Amino acid sequence: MQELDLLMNGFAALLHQPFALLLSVVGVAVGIVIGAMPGLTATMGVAILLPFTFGMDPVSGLLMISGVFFGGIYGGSITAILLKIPGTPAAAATAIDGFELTRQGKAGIALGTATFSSFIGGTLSIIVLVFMAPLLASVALEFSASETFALAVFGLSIIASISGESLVKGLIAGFVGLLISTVGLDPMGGFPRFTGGFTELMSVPFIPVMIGLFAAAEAFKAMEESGVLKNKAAALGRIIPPWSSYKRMLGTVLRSTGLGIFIGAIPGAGADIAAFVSYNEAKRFSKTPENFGKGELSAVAACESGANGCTGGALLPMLTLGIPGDAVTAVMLGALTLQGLQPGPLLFKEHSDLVFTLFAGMLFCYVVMLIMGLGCLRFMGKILQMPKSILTPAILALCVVGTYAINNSMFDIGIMLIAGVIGYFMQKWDFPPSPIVLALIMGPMAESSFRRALSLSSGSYDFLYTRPITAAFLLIALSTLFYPVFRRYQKKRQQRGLQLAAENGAA
Amino acid sequence: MTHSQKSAGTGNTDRSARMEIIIGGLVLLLAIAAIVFSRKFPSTGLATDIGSARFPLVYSCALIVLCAVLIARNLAKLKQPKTEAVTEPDAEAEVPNYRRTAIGIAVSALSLFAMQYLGYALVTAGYLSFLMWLLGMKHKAWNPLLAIVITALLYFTFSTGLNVPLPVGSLFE
Repeated sequence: MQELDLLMNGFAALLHQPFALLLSVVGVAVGIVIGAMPGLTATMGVAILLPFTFGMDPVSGLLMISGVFFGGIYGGSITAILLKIPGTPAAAATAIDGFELTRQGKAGIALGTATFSSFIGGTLSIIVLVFMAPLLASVALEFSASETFALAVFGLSIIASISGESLVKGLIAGFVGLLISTVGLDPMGGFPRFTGGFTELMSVPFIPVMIGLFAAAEAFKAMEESGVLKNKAAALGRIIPPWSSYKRMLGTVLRSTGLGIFIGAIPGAGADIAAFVSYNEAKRFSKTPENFGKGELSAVAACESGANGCTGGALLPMLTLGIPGDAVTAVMLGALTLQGLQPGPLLFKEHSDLVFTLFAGMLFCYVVMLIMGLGCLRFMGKILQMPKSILTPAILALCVVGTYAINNSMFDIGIMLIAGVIGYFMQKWDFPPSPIVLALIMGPMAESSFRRALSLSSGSYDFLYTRPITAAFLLIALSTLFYPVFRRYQKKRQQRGLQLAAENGAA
Repeated sequence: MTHSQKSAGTGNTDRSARMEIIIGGLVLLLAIAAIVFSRKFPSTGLATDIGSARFPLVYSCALIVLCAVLIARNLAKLKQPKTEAVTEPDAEAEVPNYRRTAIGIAVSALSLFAMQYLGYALVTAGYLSFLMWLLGMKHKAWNPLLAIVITALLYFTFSTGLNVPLPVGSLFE
């Protein structure tokens, strides 16, 4: 257990660096605030703080950035649960059941569950990073374009489980999202598609659409009722989930963490994908899948542990191989290089003391996140006690500023408002908005990976069934897509049988 | 059970089915438009590539099939003999005020337009104050005061704290 000794030495070294500890606290706090703001992502937070780290020692600078990264992923869940404003794309999955729990007056327990699950997911991912980094990194490197395509298809198949009552409506929403995901530059030829000549549409306006569909649509719906009364579900209630109920979710949390670590380690896949995949798997393994989408606590736990499990996973290929898994780790790679460290296998040999001090600091960041998260929840919960006449306009103003902050573009605000109006009507006619968001995340990944894989296999479609990981993912995707159809058919048959038996009995 | 209650129950189902047919029709048109426009996409010139249009075409075709299913399902629902399902009106439930939502959406669009000329601060303060009034908080002093406080809070968080330059407005530049 050489790693354990090195980690203990790392903790000892960290104790002698109070400035680094202080900066990690600052980083986590900044990360939570940034994560909670719609439009501001962990990537942006890390990029904003990067210049401040130039004059710092490596441990202090990198721990502050790690704090922002971890806090940013977790912070998105707070506004997603309280206001249905996903601060980050990953929190879009949390918002599905989290906001339903708030509507039922269980905001406190939802926030507490999210905080604990984020802590467990994140901490375990760092522990895995400490002990299994080189092994997992080599598995992640097996992923080429065809495997990434299959992963994206698997992600898209989740639409079936987040479709709510009507699978057809969910699939329509998903395919509309996929069609929107083709707006912008063609991934192979660079040709603009469906842009109408607007340069702002050269890339898919994903975050404005997400803010509009979730937050603005909810605000427009809230306008239907008078706002002088306080929210019906104003009470925050209990925050720390009782052990008896959390114990039942531990399996879900551990499974989602594992999924998060694995998905995070794959280059190009991040916390958003991990959150949706964890949601789907939690539903698949649940004894009460019918409760998902209606305020299921284990759904919140799954999404948060999956998303935060991704943090350690994303650091795996970056630290062991020098390959950034996503945008945040790409910025962190830059920070490491600026500090004169070259990520890769030699980093663990030449700077093992520093690396394990960093790991110890990362574990400290998660403890800070847990304490800070639980501490601020009561204060954040006051938001719910605001009269709707103040809260609804404030949400809309936050949506406008948050959307503008992405690209400093008024055009994006227009897209957010249009998405808000569409989202409002979708709610009215029971079309779920989550499949659109999922399609916008997975669509570009699916198309670019498929076309790259096709080019790599000289135009042959053999890669779909000759590569084991690809074939396995595609099979799981098929089963995920058709399982709800099969279950509905089975349920209908059972109902028809019972009806016939009752009629025969009456006769 | 009154006759009007019975007709209200079946009327809602009919209205919902008709609306879904309209939505299905609109999405169908969107899919057809996407097919028409994607036909104009040029080839990438790579022998091994399927071209820029293939994915939008596949998605559009899937949408056409799904919309056809949605429309057919709802047409069948309309043709079915009406069941006399009655939903008791909830005495405590508030009647939704769609006019307020429509005004809110219109004012949001107007504010977006005005922000280009008048800037973030002025427009957001006015926008917030009006929305508070629209939602029933009709206080002459508190409305503008709260609106200014929220506007300032957002301004300092984003502009000063996070270095996001918020629009100044072309009239004040």
